[in-house]
Amino acid sequence: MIGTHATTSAKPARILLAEDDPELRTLLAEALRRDGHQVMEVGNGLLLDDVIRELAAQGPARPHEIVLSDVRMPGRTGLSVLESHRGSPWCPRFIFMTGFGDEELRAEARELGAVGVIEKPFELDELRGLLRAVAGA
Amino acid sequence: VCTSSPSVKLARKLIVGILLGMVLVLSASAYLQVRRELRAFADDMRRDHAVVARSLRSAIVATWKDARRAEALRAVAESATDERVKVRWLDVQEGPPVDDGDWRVSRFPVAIDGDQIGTLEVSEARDEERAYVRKSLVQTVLSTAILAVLALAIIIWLTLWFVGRPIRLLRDKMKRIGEGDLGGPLRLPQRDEFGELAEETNVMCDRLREARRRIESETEGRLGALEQLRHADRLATVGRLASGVAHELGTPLGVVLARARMFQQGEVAPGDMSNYGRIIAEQVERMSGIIRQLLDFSRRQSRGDRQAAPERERVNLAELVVRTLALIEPLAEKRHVALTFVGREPVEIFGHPGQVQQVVLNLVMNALQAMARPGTVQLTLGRAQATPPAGVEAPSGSYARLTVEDAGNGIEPAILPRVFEPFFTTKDVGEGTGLGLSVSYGIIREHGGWIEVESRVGVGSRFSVLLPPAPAVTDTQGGDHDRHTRDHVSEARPHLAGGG
Repeated sequence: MIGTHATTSAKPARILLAEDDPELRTLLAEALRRDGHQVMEVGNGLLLDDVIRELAAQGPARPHEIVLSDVRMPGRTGLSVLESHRGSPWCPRFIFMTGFGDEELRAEARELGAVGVIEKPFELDELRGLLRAVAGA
Repeated sequence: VCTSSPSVKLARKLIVGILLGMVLVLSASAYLQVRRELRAFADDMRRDHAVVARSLRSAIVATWKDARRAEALRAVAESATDERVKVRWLDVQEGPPVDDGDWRVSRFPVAIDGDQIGTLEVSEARDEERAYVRKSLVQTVLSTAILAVLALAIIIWLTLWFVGRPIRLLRDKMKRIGEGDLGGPLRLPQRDEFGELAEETNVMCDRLREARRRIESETEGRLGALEQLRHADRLATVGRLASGVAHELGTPLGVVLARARMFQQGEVAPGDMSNYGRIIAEQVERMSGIIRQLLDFSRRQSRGDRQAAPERERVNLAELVVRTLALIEPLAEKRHVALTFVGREPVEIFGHPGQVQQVVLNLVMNALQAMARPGTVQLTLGRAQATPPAGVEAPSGSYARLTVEDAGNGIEPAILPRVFEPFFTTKDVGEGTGLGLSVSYGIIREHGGWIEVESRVGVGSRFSVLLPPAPAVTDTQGGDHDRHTRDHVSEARPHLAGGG
């Protein structure tokens, strides 16, 4: 993945970024914005849930609306947010960021219908590739 | 040969007993001997009397037949030439002779053709007999006394040498054994029961020494096994914590990696450089902190293993609980369980921080595993008046109390008393070692405290750790400590004995 440098970035997407660690959140938001994406940041699971509800009120989710969420966050975990919205037409697609060495959690995320799981620490290019694959689908 | 120590009491008793018996036997024998000699002397006298009477009788009978009675009687009277021997004629037929005090009297009947004509009486003074008796008595008493003294000397020597000495040596040996000194075998040269006793005692000492050695090595082995058990439990805990810790490391590693790539690809504006550098350093420090915590926990015990007796120190329980919760937070989050801690006052105990942390960790992990659904595990730290349960030797009084309360499934009353047994677990294979609670209980007992458990099925369980508070600090310690502990001095003192 390191080799595929993203000079040709993916189609611009609307990304809802949920991450409780401010450093990582800022970093990711900066990078994704530089790539031309539209990024909304939330710092915990409860806010993530609220924002998804608001988006749902505007109509069904579109392919370029992607949730990039940490699994463990204060309030609610990313998985529980996905669980409460999955199956509904307004549910955006989820990409989860998990800590390494936790196979169980990855399996659970996939079972809930996450379109991607990326293991921390990851290269930004790795994330870019994943986003391209998801948005392009 | 022997000093007159209390140890020869037995010998003395033996000697006195033998002496009494000997004096009795010798006296009886002397008495019999004197009596026999006196009888022999009397018999001699009577034989002499008979000789005198016989010679007179034939003369009397011959004269009597010639009807010269008066002449015959005169002859009798004349025959009494000696002062000490008297001869008398009695016409009447008299009874048996009666010895009066000074004379021994013998009577002989005189008959002619079958008709008794009278009685011849021979009397002899007894002064000679008395002198003989006195002499015989003196001799007998003297010889008896000499015999007694000689026998006594031999008996005393024999008794002290063959009874007193071995008994004293045996007693000293027993005293040494009683004091725990099993060395220095007892050497008795004699080949009798005492010699055998000494030999048996030496054999017994050898066996005792062997048994003691075995017990010591067994105790050592048991302590080693206990330590290994604790270590195993700790490693299991470290293993379970590790995945949580690894998970925690993902985020800062991601930040560092991304920032480093930015440097590498020249995407960093000169103005941002120092800011990015600071961020990287902060993230690395954060990771170091996480790893250090885990190592701290796993290492403390290893350090304790190597030391013969891990040192105890003052432990601030509130700090320890906070540190432990930080370690376990990732695991709790994974299970959607909130950990809350209420520590109303600073509480200090005296103990091994690593071991106590292991207990707290075990209890919290246990609580987490008991909770099937999201909820809260509540930790509360404070002081409490407590009375130890039956079977726990500790004084009643003020204790430091840490409760860990979960909202889990609770424990069935039937198995509640068994939860501290080793390898007792209701968890699935792989979830728990079944050692945690048992190891925890052992650690807290060693600290002079105990663990109580209450549970209601469907509501939750509450484990309470009670530990003797640390004794009052000395003046060299911080003033704050002092002020806090002084209030509890009177309560804390009694626990020193129980707490060890």
